[in-house]
Amino acid sequence: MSGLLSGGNTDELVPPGWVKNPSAWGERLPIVGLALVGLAIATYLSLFQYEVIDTVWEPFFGDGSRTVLTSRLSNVLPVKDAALGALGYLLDAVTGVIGGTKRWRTMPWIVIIFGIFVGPLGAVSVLLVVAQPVVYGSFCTLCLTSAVISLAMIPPAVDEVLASFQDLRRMRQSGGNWWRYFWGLDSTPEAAGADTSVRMGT
Amino acid sequence: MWFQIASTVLGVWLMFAPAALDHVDTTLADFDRTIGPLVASVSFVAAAQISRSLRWLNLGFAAVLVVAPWFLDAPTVSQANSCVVALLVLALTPWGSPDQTRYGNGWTTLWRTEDLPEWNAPRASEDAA
Repeated sequence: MSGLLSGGNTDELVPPGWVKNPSAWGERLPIVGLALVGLAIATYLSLFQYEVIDTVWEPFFGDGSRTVLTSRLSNVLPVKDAALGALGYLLDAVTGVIGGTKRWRTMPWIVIIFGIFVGPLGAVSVLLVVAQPVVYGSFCTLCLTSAVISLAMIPPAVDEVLASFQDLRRMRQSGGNWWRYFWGLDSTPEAAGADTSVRMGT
Repeated sequence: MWFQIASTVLGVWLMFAPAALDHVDTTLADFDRTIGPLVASVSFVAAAQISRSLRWLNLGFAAVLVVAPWFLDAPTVSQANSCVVALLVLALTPWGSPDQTRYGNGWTTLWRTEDLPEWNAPRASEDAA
């Protein structure tokens, strides 16, 4: 029965039924690059919020950036919101580079953690953008830029998440230990006890 | 993808419509500047095939803005703009069903496992319909 898969897809980099490998460096490094640009912008804005610098670059909206960045909403938490944004981008970059090009099947846990950082954090940054004009009547150019960066990172990140989820679903269908597989403790489905001859959808 | 890009442009327009049409201090402006970023963000992410299903959220956002201008005090041009733009977003939403064969038949395989590719399924071809 193991012959069904010898030399077959369990060692293949591209997930079954996919065109490309979502964990390939060519797919991931652009996301990491965007995260680093976001990190630079957020760090710059934190320097302004912590009064290390006393002006902020705002080419379009006059006082907009200053109003938004020094507002009460920015000060709700013990850490200024730009600094939290910088931490978010740093986490995106770090979890984006951990793991090799097979990580969608050998390390699903890091892929899902990466997806959690990129997706919901991106959504939060959008909500902050929505709040700016409604609450303060002004826009902040660099805040808008970083929201666009956060959104742009979402599609390239979630395809890896789908690949991992599909593999975990196959594990469940095949009776294997999907929990061990999720944590990368067993890197092939057979090692985790899956019966890979079970047809999906049965 | 182009339908979602068009929705993104419309969402961005709504963000700046209060300034452009001079109704900045109205409640309608609050609606425009809330629904605008929401539509723009969702459409931007939905332009990618893997996240195309997010476009359906636009139906909810745009529906609010189709109705709201009728009940808010604002210049007629502003009311018409918000309502028409929202109707356009509604019209653009259903188009562009994604080609999920590139992604192992997509997210629905997680609960409709009959479409989930087998362990030894071959990779999909580059020009899958």
